[in-house]
Amino acid sequence: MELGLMQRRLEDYTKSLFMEGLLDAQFLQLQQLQDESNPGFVGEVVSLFFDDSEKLLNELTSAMDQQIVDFRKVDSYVHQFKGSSSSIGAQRIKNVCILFRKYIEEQNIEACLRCLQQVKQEYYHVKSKLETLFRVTSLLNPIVLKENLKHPLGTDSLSNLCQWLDYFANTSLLL
Amino acid sequence: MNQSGGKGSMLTSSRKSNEVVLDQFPAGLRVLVVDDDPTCLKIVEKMLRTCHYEVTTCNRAESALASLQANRNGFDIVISDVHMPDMDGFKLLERIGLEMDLPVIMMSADDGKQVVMKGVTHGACDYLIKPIRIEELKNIWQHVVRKRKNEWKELEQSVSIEDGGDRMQKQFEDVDYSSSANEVGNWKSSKRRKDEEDEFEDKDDTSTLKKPRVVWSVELHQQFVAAVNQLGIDKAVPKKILELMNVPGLTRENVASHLQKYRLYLRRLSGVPQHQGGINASFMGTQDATFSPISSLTGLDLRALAVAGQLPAQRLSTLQAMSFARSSPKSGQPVPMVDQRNVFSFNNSKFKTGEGQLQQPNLGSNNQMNLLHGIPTTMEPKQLAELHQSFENMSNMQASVSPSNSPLMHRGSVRFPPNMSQTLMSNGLPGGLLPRCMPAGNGRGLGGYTNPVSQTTSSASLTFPMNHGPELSGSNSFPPLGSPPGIPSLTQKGPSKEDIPVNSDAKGSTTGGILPGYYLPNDLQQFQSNDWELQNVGLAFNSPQNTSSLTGNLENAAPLFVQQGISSGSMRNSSSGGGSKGSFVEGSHHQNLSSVVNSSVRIKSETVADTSYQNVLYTEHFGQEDLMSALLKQQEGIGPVNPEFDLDGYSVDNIHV
Repeated sequence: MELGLMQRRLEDYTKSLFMEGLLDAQFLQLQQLQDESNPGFVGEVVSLFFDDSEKLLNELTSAMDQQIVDFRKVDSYVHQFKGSSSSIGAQRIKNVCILFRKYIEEQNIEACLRCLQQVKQEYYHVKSKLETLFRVTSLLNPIVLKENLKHPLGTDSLSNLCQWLDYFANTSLLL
Repeated sequence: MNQSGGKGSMLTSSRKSNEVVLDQFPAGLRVLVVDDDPTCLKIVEKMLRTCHYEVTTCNRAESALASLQANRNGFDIVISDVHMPDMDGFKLLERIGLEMDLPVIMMSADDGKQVVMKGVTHGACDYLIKPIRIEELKNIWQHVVRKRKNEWKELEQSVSIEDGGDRMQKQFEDVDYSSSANEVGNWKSSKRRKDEEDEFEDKDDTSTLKKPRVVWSVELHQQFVAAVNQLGIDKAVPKKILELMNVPGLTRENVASHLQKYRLYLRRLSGVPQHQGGINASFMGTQDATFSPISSLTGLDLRALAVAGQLPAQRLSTLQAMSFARSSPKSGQPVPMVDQRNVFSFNNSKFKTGEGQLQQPNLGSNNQMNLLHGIPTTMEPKQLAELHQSFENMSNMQASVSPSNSPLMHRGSVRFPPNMSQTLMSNGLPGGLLPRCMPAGNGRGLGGYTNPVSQTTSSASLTFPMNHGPELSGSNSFPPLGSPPGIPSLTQKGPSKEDIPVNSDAKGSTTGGILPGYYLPNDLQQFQSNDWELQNVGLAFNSPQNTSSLTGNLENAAPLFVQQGISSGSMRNSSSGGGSKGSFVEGSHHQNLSSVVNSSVRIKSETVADTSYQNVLYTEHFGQEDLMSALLKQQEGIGPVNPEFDLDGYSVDNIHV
């Protein structure tokens, strides 16, 4: 099994998240906080972020849906989102929030609605990327690997992972 | 035997655990973190633990206060968020400073100058901008040390001015100081010791020597307030307050510093909420007629009169109240409010003349004191406390209603009597006088995007993702780093973020969990699209069986891709006007494709749940997604496609290795 290769691929995947600006150095900080005593730290934090953000986005959406938009309330939600997204290093979300707040201040509803859409897009984008990342990471985890190697090749998650990775590689080739 | 806080413990104490802690200072520093954002709370907590601090977290200000009150000497420092739903962070800051006298650090995603200024003026010892980095937290112990040092200095000053020095106290402070600041403060304390060596006489007064910082419990505070009120603000000097309170073990210095803080607090209370002017007015309502002719008097004049004994203190306060109530028809922020804050800034700048220090600040705070506690001094302490509490509630309400657009902001735009400013300025006041000339609505919002230029530009580019979408999708290979304007955030993030050391050791390492090596943007040149091809070649996994299954999947997927391309295009177009709905494609795409894959890969099915969740929010449901783009990163930039923008970015044609 080309473990090193898969790891490399995973690294590249992660790298690309940074390249795209989806994540910034704050995410690195989180990574550095993770250690043996708390191996799931980044995952936990990110999960917290997701849970919290879903609620926040819901509230934000309904606040923007009102007949008369309470900009102050909207602003506090956006500010909160800005804070939490910047804390995990979700750079793009943070940037949209900054813009969003500008429009809030101008009370430009149209622009605010666009920002809302955008912030959601960015959120789900980074969410799916991170979920993929964590999923693959956990699959590649050596502990998991060790376990899996005990099982016949055909059924272990590792081979499935390879299959999966390969599938995507191949699809690109074929297309 | 004293059981109070670690850092303040005495060297001779039998609290062995604390001694151990002291030796390792600043490890073991007890930090309380308050933030309603659970993500940030968890991160900060982890960072603080990594710094070897003891951390307690709260997600609500009220519970933080309760913890602090329950465990008076249980914390050394507090870190609090600015914007919280139940209580304004600044309010909490004041309360803590007043009741527990702990250093408080504010934090916020808001880096606007005004907000930071507000933190400073409210007495925060630091202001951190989110996202917090661990480096910033490593040094928070300095605030603990500094605060103690300053406290003792203050006390010493007043002591020496007062009655030639309470040597017990001084010595106590010395020892305490050195015990709590082992590593850093030793040289200072030894210096002090030398200075006061000859004055050091009696070590045997264990009650003063061994007593750490006084714990101002609610009862104690109420006693204090009652005493102050009884004496009247003019005459409320620490000595007399102390006598009135008659609390064993309480020293004049404790009372003095507490009095100072109390005035500060009251000033803010009366100064902050707009409608408190209204409260004042109603409070003094019955005396309207009597005092109406006096409304033209400025605060300074009133003070002068009071000093000259022309007016009794109580009257003075009510006069002030009336003038306050009247002098600002619009904003409810009477000018003297500003003045009072300046006066209180006086206190901060250590304008002390022994008992005389109480004169002006006293006068200035007169109205609050009496407003809070009623004009006549015949009110019972309980009632006083209630009033106090109700004032606070008012302030809280006001504050919570407009946390950042508080009248503190407005205050700056209120007229500012030149005579007062000059008078006060001449006494070397710090910048607390600067009017915050902000238009009302800007509050906290302004700062967030004026400061970071890089972010502004990158956010500007974000508003038009259509710009960078097509650019990235147009190029078939992954764009070389740095060249396409489509990755603005990356290049701009450079200056501030590249300092973070890259964990390059993690590259390809298998230590612990697999942490992919993270590369700084500059390192990413190696990342080329042909890497993927190489990796594909490298995979030894291509058994015919698997290939066929893959192909099978592929065939299923391909038409789906195409469909999806079209459907999402139409969806997008239709949803562009859909306000907050819909056009949310990305996540559901990813989710759904992985669920396609799930059947063959047995990946966790949580994504399905997520998808359904998203369906709740978004009506459009997309069948597939080119997850390939997720992994292969060829077309990642397509990601945030603006709904208004054409779907080209998602065209299958663009995807290739």
